[in-house]
Amino acid sequence: MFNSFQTKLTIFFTALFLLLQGAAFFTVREAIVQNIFDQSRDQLVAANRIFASRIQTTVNALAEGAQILASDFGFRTAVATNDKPTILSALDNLGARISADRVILVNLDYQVTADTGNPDGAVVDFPFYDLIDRAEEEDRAESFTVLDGTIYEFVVVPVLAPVPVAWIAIGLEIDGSFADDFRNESTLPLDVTFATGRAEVGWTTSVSTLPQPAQMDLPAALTAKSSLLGKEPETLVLDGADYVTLVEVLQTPEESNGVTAILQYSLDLALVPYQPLFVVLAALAITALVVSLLGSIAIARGVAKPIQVLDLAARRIQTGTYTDKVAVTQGDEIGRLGETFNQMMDGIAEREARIEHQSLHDAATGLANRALCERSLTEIITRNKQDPLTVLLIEIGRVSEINYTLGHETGEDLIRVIGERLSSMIKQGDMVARHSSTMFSILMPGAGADDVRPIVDRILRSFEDPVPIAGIHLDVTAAIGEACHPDHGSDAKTLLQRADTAIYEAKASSRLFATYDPEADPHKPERLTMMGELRKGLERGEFKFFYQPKVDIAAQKITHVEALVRWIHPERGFMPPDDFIPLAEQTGNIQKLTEWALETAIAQSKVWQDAGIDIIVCHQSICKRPNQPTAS
Amino acid sequence: MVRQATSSLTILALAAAASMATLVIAAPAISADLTVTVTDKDGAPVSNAVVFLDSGSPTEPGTTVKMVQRNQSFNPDVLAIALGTRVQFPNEDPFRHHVYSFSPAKRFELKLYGGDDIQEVVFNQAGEIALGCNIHDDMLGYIYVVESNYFGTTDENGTVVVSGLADAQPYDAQVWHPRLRGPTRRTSQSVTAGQSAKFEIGLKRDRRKQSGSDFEGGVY
Ligand SMILES: [Cu+2]
Repeated sequence: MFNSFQTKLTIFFTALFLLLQGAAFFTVREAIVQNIFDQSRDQLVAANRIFASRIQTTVNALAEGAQILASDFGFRTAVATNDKPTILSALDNLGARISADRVILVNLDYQVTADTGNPDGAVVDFPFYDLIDRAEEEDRAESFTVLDGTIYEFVVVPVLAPVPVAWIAIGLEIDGSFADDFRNESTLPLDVTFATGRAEVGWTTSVSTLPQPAQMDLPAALTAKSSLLGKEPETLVLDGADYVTLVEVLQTPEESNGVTAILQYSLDLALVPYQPLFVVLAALAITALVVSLLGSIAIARGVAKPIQVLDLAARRIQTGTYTDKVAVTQGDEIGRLGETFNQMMDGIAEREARIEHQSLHDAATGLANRALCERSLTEIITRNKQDPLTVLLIEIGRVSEINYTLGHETGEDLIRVIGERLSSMIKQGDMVARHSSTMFSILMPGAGADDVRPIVDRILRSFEDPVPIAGIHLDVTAAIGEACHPDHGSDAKTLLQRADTAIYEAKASSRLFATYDPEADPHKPERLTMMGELRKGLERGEFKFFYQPKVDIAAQKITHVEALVRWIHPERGFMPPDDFIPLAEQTGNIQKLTEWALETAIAQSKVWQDAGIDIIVCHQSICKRPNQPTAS
Repeated sequence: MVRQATSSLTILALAAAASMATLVIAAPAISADLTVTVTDKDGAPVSNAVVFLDSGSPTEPGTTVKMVQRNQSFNPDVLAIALGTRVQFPNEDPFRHHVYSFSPAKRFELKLYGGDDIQEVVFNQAGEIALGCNIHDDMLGYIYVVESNYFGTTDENGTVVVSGLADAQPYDAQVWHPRLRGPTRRTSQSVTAGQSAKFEIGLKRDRRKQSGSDFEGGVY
């Protein structure tokens, strides 16, 4: 799948585009997030200042109220006389008037003498000595503290009469509503958390505007990120959401647990206004991706399609088809390549046609050669199985003689002239081919024996006149054999072979023309069988000589014997020589027979001579032409 | 300041030499003085420090003394009296004052009075009495009641001379100051009559506003 050029190109461009688009998208997003982070940092620092000044304002209000009470003569009287009910009611009244959550009176020995948070409590020590000591030094002291597990901002002022006779500690509870108020008053959707604890021991969330799951995560996240204590805002991940976080460790007395204010700004929330922008960006990216995908497919197709066309054309050439031209419309390199391809196809087709022509035609005469002749014959027979067809084979005599005496060129000229003559004599639809160096063939589709005869005569007559070659008039003979379809054979090879056989027959019977005669055909199967049996018979000793004595009547003496060969065939029985000698001569087996005959006759002569009988053995039929086993 | 201190040391040395001579010449002297100098940790003289000696004899109330309200402040800042002494509170300002004390040694209240009214209080319990005014928050004065016949208050040089002592007799001398560190604001030291003694005390800050006070430059 990834092998296709088109796919590769498409994937490359799409991947490239995705990469760029992704990089652009994330760069923009990163810039926005960074910007929001920076803004949030600034806002947090500002919020922290607001928080500090807000606390200061509150503290001032508390201190003012406490001081008013502390300098009230009646209250001082109550304190001086240790009038606890009056003191408590005065403290309650103060708390209610200035919205303080807890008011405590501490005596000069750091003991709590009245506490609105615990009105009926026994006398206990006020835990934050440090705060009292500072109030003694500075007339007023304030600090965040953790009292009974609750965070308070306490302000301590002396009760002066006119020297300090007691201390009023007035506290604002840092509770959920305080955090909520703070959150609501800030310009940003700020989250405010107050936690108790210290870096060494960890934190416990006291109050928080954070969602519950984020609150749960906060203490551990704070412990994990101690760098936050450096007051520099950093990002903290709570419940999977990013918060820009500012941690303010608040001043607490030594005796108190630590108090930490954590101001946070949710980045997710801050990103909400940018969501439409991201959606637009994403939509743009997707649109551009689709367009680029389609574009790269189109471009890839534009490049790949002609290549596919060329690929197909090349495959057609491989299978030898040159007719379908490459359709090229482009004017670019690919278009030129297509043109070259078409020219190449033409060139190949032309050369192949020439080669084929050469392979199917005779160079000397320009006539079809034997292969083409056979092919045409096969085609015709295949096309018209029942139609008659006649094959003529014409053997030109004396060609080797002419070659020898006048040279090959003359011989070839002769053959060419004869070819031209033959071509001029046939009718439309017939075909002349050069069958071998000395033979021509003529195919006459649709012709029966009667139609052929005039042409045969005309051909034979044409050979009666000498052929003028290079100023010499050459006498040329011809022998014609004829084989007819379907009588003499149903395929090209058989028909041609049988026409050849007919030539042989014609020559054997000293005629110029013969039609194939199955009876005389030495290639008949039964004859071929007999030839095989003859060889075996010689080996098996199935041949016998019968000696016919020749008597010299005058001398009253047998002068010689004639050895007459007989074949005692195991199946056919006694066979006379006429039945197998001609066949043996035709097939070349006569040589073996001759050898056998000579050996046997000489051996018999020797036997007789040793016995003192003076007889000459001879064999008529074999002796006739002992070295000429075949007819040619 | 340093030079002053050095010269006072010289005087002390001379006084010491003189007492030694007296001790050698005449054994039981009838009357001797004790000079006590009080300084703070920096060596600066401390005024308004009450120095008193355990006399061993019953305390005799002194003659009636005055704690004047003038220029919206108490005058003197610290008034040392013997047990049972009567104190008058004359108002010399053109407006009224409302002097009070919530101190355990003497709780009293002199409600809104002017110059025409004579206010008198008798102090029958030893100890410190912080005086305030209900109208003027900045007003702060002290009456220190001692159970002793030998006492005095240091001047701006931090020095007080206690007279009428048995010469060469050792005494337990105590110093009280309203800003002295410690719950009793008191410290003691053995001294010998006819000689001089020096107290160095640690002071807390002065809680009064400096403005509105007429003790300009005074170390109080
Ligand atoms: Cu007054």
